[in-house]
Amino acid sequence: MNAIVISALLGVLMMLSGLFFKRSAAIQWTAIAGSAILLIGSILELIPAGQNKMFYGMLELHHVSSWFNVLMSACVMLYILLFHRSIAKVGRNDAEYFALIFFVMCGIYLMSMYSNLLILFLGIEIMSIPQYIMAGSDKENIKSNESALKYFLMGSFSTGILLMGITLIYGATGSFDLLSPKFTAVFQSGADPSSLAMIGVLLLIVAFGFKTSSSPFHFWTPDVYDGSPTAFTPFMASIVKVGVFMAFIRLFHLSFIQMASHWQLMMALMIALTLLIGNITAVYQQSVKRMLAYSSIAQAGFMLFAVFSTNQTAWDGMMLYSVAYTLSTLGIFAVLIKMKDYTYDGFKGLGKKEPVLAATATICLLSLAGIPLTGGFFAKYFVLNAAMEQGLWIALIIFAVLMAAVSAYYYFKVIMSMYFYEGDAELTEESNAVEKTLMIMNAVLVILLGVMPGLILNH
Amino acid sequence: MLILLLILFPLLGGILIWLLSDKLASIAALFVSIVVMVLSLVVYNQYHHGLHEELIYQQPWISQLGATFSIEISNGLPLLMVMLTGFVFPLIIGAWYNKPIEKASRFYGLMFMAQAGLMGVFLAKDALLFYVFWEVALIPVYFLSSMYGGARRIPVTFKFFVYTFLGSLLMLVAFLYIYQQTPIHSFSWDSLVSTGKSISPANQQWLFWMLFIAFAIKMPVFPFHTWQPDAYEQSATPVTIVLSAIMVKMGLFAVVRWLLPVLPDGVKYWMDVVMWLSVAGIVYASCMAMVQTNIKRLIAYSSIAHIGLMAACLFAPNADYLSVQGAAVQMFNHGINIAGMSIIVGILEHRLGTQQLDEMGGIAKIAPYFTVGLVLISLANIALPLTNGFIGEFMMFNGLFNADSKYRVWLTVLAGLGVILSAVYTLTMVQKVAYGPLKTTSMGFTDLELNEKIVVILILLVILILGFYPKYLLELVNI
Amino acid sequence: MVTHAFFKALLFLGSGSVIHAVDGEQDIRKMGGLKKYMKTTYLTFLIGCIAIAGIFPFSGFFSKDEILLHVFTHGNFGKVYLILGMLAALMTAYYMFRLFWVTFHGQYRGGHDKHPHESPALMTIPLVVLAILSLIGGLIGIPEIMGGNHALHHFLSPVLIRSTASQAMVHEVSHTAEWILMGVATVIALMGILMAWFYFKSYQSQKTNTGVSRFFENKWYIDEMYDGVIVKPLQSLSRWTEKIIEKSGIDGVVNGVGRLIQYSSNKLRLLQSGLVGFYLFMIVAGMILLFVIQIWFNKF
Repeated sequence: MNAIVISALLGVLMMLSGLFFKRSAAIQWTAIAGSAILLIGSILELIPAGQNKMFYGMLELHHVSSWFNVLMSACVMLYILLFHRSIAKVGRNDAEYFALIFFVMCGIYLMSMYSNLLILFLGIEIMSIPQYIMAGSDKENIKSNESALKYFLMGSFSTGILLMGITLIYGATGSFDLLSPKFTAVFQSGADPSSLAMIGVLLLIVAFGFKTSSSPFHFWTPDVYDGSPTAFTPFMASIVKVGVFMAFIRLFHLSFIQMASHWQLMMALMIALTLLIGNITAVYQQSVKRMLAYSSIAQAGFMLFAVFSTNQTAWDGMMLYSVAYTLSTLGIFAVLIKMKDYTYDGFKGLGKKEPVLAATATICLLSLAGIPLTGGFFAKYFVLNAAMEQGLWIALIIFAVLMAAVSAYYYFKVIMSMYFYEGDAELTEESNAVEKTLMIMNAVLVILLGVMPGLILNH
Repeated sequence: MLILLLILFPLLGGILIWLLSDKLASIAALFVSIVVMVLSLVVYNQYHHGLHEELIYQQPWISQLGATFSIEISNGLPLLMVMLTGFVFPLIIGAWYNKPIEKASRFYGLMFMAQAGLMGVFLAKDALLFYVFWEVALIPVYFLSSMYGGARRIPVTFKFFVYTFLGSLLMLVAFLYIYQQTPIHSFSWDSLVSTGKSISPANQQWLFWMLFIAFAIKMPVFPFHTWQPDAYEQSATPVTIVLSAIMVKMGLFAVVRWLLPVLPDGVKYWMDVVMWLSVAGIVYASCMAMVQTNIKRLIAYSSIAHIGLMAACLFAPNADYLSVQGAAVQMFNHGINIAGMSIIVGILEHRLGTQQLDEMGGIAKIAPYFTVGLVLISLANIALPLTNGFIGEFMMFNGLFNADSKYRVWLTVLAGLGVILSAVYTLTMVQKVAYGPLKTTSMGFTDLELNEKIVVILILLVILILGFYPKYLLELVNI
Repeated sequence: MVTHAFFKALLFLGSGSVIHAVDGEQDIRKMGGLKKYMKTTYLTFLIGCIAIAGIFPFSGFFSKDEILLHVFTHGNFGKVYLILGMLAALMTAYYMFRLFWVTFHGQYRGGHDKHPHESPALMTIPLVVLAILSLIGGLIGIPEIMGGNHALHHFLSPVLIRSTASQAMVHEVSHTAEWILMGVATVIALMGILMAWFYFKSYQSQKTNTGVSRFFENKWYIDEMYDGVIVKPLQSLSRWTEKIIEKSGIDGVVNGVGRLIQYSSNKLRLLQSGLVGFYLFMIVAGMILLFVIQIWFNKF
């Protein structure tokens, strides 16, 4: 409960802070302090094993979710530390932007702890609606407005599908509570579920597929990620997406695992499509920001493997992927946001001009590409291992590694621009010593995860 | 503990050198490389005296996976490869001691990181660790050859990188598959070997290709070789040496350690195909080498031909592993010879500013020491008796001819043809470079300088000593 | 094989030394009488020649003898091979000593502006070493009847695991036969040397060769034949292969994969049209398709 309550309170507090503080720096410091409190709050809630029921059985804090909450709180703190100056610069309402971030976090905590479909719906909505605003927060920019509108339109559409799915499941079971006997009787008895329940589950996959930007429900992603202010894109692409995945794997591994054969084929097709479209389309992009948007689709394809494989390794893979992918995305965006020109040409010569920025970007890109000794390698490794444990789906795994090789192509294009080509990479602003230290820390964390992934798996 | 130093020392040395100024970098690099060489000799001494407990190091790594950080010199082959890695680096750094290198500290820093990775590849006894080192060795080399070299270096190196990366991902899938079959979920070599045998032949057959393609791209075996001539031509010569002398041996080494014992049925099923591919590659690459006008491309194709012979021999089934032993010996000797050859070519390229054979000629008249080095190394390269190249080649042909395959005669004849062609193009190259009238483009050539003389003499010593007295080398490969 | 390497290397280096001495001249008709200019080279070259001709106790004797012995015991055609081998031995002795006489004896026939001289120590020392090895190299392979123990076989024993089998076969041949063969081989070699001495003792270059001799002088036109029949076609074939198979074929496929990905990327990105209506249509269409596939396959 700590995390949920604190994040909601912080959201309100941040909105009010805009009234009290005239200076933007003070607001930013409040946000940083707030994120630290959030982190402490979620650490206090950490449970080593088992689970706690809360809020009349509507929430269930599993030990994995408690650990996940801590990690996500740490990530959001890192995000605010790295980006607070850029966030404040997006527009005039800087206090509100931070408030939106904390509201989104509240949604994410709900999604990692729900044991009731209503809470899931609430969580997804609390997480989504602030994002529509964030996408459109750069009010003078027509691209930002367009992306907000698109996101909102398609987001409402997916909400409809989500509600439809929940309704059908309710119709089949007569309960929203995932742990209630009525519910488990339908889904965990081992008998074939009724077609009502089955369609409900498949509709839920579609809704989750939309939020996680899996093909063929990914169409909003490139436009929204590209159009949103660069300060918000890393947040949406990393922490938010990972949060949805946590809800996804939680629902399908805890509740629908008995009927896995009834949704795995659809999921396998989604994985193949997501990997194909994400990776192949990213190859042709000229803007690094848009390329990263497609790459986030491609990475979602790999994370889907964790949902797809119904075993313990998949949970490990999901945890590791969440952290490694979030850190790498934050790192590369922290560099990107300093650039004047987002195209590959804009990166030319960065290696000479700003060695720290270039090194951070390189390590994060290596991690995204899944090169060993970075967190990204073990993340990919664990999810593929989980799928291998499943057996029978080897062709899909081979296809995934072929696509991983393709992904090396577009990630390394950035590295090549930075180091091997001459050029004068122009920056919008110099990064100060604190930011550079944070970037180095981020890179070190990525490498640490690549050497000792056990660090975050022990829980 | 001792062998851990083989990895740690170059790694830390590399990082330290990177932080040094460019002036100090060369001397520090020479020092580090010599220490690593001495370390490899100490390891050899330990092995020779049977002190095996010093040659094993194990640490728990990722317990959730059953992966351990375990490195070991269990037999002569990894030891040979470690020694090769130890020897080649001081030679490179010694030969380039008098040549300016832009941002030398970065250059040598990356070089030693590559060395650490290579050492790890040869020492790893854990499949996951092996995979990690396999990739880690590649990354510094990718950066090196992208930053130093010819005009087309960036796309060429990139192609090389993506190609090998693709191969190694396939290898990872195969390892994952075998790992999932192991009863205790362990990545150790022993459990992979004991589990691999029990995998059904049908599954071994596709697993074989997943592993083989990864290794074949690295070696490279025809027809996976097209990255290589471009990469050799475009990379700076010190990097070319690392690539040609050591990195291509990773593929061969991996076949011996991670393919032959792990998937015996798969190997048995496909060995004829692989031997034909390799032998076809010998003849094909020899023909290509004959018509090259660029001296580095010529060496690249000659290397493909030599590697083809070794690859064929690794898969040639022998009762007493004669051909595998021969290939193991040759892996070491070919490493030394190709390093020598590339150093000679690097000197040519540095002095003349060209890689084109047409622009060279008559160098023997102005540079006698250089010519002696060139001729002797070339002779070693075509495996003349009394040079180190001979002994391994002889064993390989003996093994190939006695292989338990119905095509053995044809394979041997074609491979033999490759050897004849190798003499043709190598000697033609020597003749074009050293003899004939002195060309105006070669006028400015000066003979070897002191550091180059030392390096060339050391290489010649190794060539001749191992040619006259290969006993210690042969002892190591007595499997 | 190994002993062969000794004297072959010796002869190569020796001729190198000679060529060096006469400033790069390689035509032996323009040499002659070099004996008095370069003593070391002369002596070592002589040793090399004797060794390759296979005279006792030089290394060539034992190796050649052993080869002949192996051949002799080899199957039904052993005799035929033996005779051919003997002939070859005769020719070897003959041409080597022809070379020797013409180069080192008689009058110096180079121009008067050239002054032949002994090579520097860098060249002569290896010559001496190799000469000594040629001299004694045979001893390490001395046949058993002379009390030898085949040190070389032990030295190379890991290499020659398989040759022990043939070794055993050799020993089945009676020792008498071995002695006879040795004698015959020596005699033949001596004959060759004598022939050469008889013809080329005092060679003069003015004499023009005709007929058969001319044919031989041009090495049977073998060089030209090699060039026309093997080297040229092989080179043009290789050039063609490089262009068609290497560049367009194999590398074309490798690069083609890259280009295919680029191309499909260019096409696939058109899906991202920016029209929300189209997106929603695709989402619904994809959803229905996936549902149909999933439910269809559930039934089986």
